[in-house]
Parts: sequence; structure tokens; C-alpha cells
Amino acid sequence: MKTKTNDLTKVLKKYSNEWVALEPKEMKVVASGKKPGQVLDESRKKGVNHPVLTRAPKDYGVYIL
Amino acid sequence: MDFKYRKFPNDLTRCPFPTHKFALRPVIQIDFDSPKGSFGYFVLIDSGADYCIFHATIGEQLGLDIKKGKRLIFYGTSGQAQEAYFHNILFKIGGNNHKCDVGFSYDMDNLAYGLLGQYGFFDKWRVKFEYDKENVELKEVSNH
Repeated sequence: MKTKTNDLTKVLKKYSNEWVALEPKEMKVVASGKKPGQVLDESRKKGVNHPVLTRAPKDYGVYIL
Repeated sequence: MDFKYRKFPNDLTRCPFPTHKFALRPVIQIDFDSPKGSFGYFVLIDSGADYCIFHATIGEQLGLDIKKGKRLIFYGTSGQAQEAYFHNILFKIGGNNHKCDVGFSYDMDNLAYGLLGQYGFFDKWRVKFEYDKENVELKEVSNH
């Protein structure tokens, strides 16, 4: 089943070159910043105890790994 | 276990295919317990990677002294040498405990996710990619 929470296109597009913490069910951004620790701390202060971290790269290019 | 592919932004100014407004990737959530609390992390299931490689700053969150790990020099398609330091860590995949050697690298800031590669992941999980269904199926290998 396709769900909206798997589509992070709009959610992440405005972030660049920083870490982003997402609320795990809704996949909405809770916090962002330069360091994962800072982002996790901020998320927990906002009541999200198990945030999901991802990195917003500087450029959203195509990956050939 | 089934996981859905996820859609990520795609910069159309850098891509020759104007209809490709997003990148569809087999990116799944894994979960860590750390001294400071638990958290999830996105990882790309990457059959082209020989090893599992995560951001070093994630390892720091787990309390690891990154550079005390075993050092690996590895190469991406650019051919530039990159460094990673291996530590044996525990995390969860779909709620299942998974222990393996992971290389932590300070050289992957322009990559959004960690990488699950052959050694440490594909040797422990049978992976079925179904791009058309936007689904990736994982079955644990019984004799690893």
C-alpha cells in the first residue's frame, strides 16, 4: 500500500546541508540543524522521543553509487 | 518483512529527465538505542556497496570513539578515496535485532542516508527489490 508518509519530496525539499529529525509516524519535520545531537535533543524537548534522522544533502542530485 | 520505497526530492536543474520530479529509493528506517535515548536513521539498501557505511556523526551519537575502529579506504564512482572506521554495533530492522560491522565515515556529508551493503546486510538478509510495486521484501537468512 502506498502511503503519503513514504513521500518525503515536499517535506525535505526546503532543507539543505543539515540534519533533519522526523516524527516517526507522520514523517513531519520536528527539528533541523548542523549536528545530529543538537537535532535529537531539540526533538526530545518537543516531546518526540524516537525521532528519525536523515541528512538533507547540499544538493538533491541523482545517486549513482 | 515488507518495506515501501520512499520518494525523495530531485533537483530537476541537474537532471536530464524533466518528468523525474522525485527519486524513488529502497530507503528503510533502522533504529538505535543509545545512552542518550533511541532514534531512527534512514539507510539505503545498496547492493553495490561492499560494506555497510554510516555517517560518523551517527556513530558519535551511539557513544563510539570513531577513529578507534578498524580503518577502511573505500571508493565511490568519483574514484576519490574515502575513509571509514569499523565498529560492531547493534540496531533494529523492522523491530528485529541486527548486529554487524559498520564503517563510520566523515566523508559522506553529501549523502542523505547510511548504506546497507553486502557484508553485514546482504549476507544476513535475502532481499527482493520490487520497484514496480515500490516494495522491498526482506527475509532473514537462517544460517548466518
